[in-house]
Amino acid sequence: MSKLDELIFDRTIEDIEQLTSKAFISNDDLNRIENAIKYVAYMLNDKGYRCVVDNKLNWKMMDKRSELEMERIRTNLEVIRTTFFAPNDTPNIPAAITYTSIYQANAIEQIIHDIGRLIESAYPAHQRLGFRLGTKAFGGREI
Amino acid sequence: MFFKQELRSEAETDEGVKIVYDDVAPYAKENSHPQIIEPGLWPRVGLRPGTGLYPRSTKTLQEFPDLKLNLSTYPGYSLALPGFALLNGSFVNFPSEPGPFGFISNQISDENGLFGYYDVNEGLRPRSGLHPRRYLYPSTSYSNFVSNPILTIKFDGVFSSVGLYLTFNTLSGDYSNELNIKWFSNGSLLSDMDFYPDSVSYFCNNYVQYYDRIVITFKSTSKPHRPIFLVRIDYGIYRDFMNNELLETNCIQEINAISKNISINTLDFTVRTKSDIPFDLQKKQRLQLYFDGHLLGNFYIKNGAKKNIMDYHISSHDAIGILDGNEFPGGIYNGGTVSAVVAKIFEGEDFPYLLSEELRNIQLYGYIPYTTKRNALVQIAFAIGAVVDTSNYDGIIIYPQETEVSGEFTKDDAFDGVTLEHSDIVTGIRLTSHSYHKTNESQELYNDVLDGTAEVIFTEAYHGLTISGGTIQSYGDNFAYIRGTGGTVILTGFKYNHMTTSRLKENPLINYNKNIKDVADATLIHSGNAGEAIERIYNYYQRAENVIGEVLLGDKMLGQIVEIDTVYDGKKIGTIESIDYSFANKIRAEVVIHE
Repeated sequence: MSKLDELIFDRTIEDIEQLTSKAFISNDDLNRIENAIKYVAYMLNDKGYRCVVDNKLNWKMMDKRSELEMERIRTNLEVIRTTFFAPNDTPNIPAAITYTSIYQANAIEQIIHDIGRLIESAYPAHQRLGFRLGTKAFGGREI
Repeated sequence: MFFKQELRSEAETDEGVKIVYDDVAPYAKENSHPQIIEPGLWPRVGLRPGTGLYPRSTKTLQEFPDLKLNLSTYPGYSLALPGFALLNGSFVNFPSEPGPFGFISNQISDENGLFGYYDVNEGLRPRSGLHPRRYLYPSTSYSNFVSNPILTIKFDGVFSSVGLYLTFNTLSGDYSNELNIKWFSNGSLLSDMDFYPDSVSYFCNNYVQYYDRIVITFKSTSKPHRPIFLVRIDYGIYRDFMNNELLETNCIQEINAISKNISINTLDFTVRTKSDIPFDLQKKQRLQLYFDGHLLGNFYIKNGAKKNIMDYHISSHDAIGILDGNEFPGGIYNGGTVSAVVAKIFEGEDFPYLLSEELRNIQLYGYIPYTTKRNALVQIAFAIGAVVDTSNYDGIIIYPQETEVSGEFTKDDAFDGVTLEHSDIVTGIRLTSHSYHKTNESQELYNDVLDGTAEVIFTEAYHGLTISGGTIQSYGDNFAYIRGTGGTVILTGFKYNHMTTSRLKENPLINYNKNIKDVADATLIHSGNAGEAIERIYNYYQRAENVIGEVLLGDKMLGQIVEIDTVYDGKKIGTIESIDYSFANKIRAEVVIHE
């Protein structure tokens, strides 16, 4: 089962009214999102699309959902989105992750899902060669 | 529209008269220090030496000054708790610099909502049958004991209250449903009681006198996996006395349009309580008088009496009455702004004030003696032409005298008719201006044996204080705190030269039977403001007629300029200077309108 299968983006107003588990953002939700981003980043790198994300995979219940952490997650979303492609109907990345509505919560997880599904089915990109220019022996060191 | 009407709450009810009584220990909250402490360890009977046992002092680990505030709700800062941060817009990210939010315990309860359990985590270590795969990392095992959150509240001084009113998380609906409270005095246990709250706001009913420390031990939460959210602690209870409990209610509120004096407004009432929680009547407890949801004024208990098993009689006065009991050191003023001096007057008081923008930057010149804060306020208000008013506001409002008519009493409002009352006709005003200049004339202000600290209050202002045989700890133009060590202490200062000039304004039409009013002791009247002041005072006294009568008050307020139909002598216009309330389904009041 892929990490993408766990993502939730079907929250509705009824969830809010009936206070179902999908109507809240808890440590489980944040860990799911962080793991999925990490998975997508791994898949991107695996297929030759270089990207670096910064994940926190051990959200605990008493952790503060801080502005700083939400900005980190938002930056991660930007990284995976700009590294690869997203379908036309994939939501835009929010200007700030505030989790003040089900719509934003759905959008965040759908972005990860859509990009993830696309990269899962994508062919590997051209591998980049790494080499250094202009190095020469200088004393006992290389500069 | 009269600006006070704009300040009035728009929330209107039909509950008639209501008095909200803050049956809380005055100043307890301000003098409280809610904190988490790590208890020290001292040798005692029954304690044997052991590993890790060593004497240590009690440490304060964390303080919670937010609990000294009057927060009404949790601000919605999100934690990653299950089922907590609802996606409905009321929960926000935890800001880097959060505003006040009260107390959140470091511990969270278990799946049953209980504290006092072991938080166990089985880590991940290489073992047979476990194969490496993506996202599989080693992790450590742990077993941590989660203790009961304990909040200790220390007080500067001793306090008495009928209990504790706890407000938990009103936003998420989380509360502690079992807790224990211990009250101590000087280390001795006064009372120990368990409580079982059943809502986010709960009164822990236990009348304890003269405590200086409270320890609250939280045992469980209303929902699983929750810390303790405590937004507010009140040391007592807020009681609402409705119309059907108030046997008798008398309230008089007054202002003076030129602030020749500032009245102390009063509220006296008898209540037949329906509550079984006893009253703890204490001086300076706050009473808020409402009618149909609109605040008429705040009052503070002067004295009270229990008349029988259910009836209490309470006498109270307004914030001016409080200011009348507190001292102001005064001094010589050479251009200090009204806002700065008024701020000094209200320093240390626990009620707000509202100073009109028009008055804030007026500069003061002259002198205020060492006097009460009320008298100091009279000096300032009289000099700048301000009205000082405690009606329809949470504290004191200081505003310029109204000039526009903004209300009307019709014939129907004044159903019993009104009386026109004539005061002594004042034919002129003699106003004295004051100026103060430093001199080199010295004066001995204290000469005595002193061992300790003494406060010397001067009858007039002095400058350039010098001392021999002791030290000056603090001083002003009107006072000095001096300290001696058993020898003779001599305090000397230089006098101010107090110069006065008078100006006279008379009614040119009156040549005989003159009645000149002398205003000599307004020591903030100087050459710069005397002209305006004498016009203001003269105009006030020229209108010697008061309209007095019972009216339906409606939305009219003290200080407002209104038109009133006298029926027999046409319409009169004047400032409402006094309201003596009678409460029924409407406010029927005896008003004094100064023309």
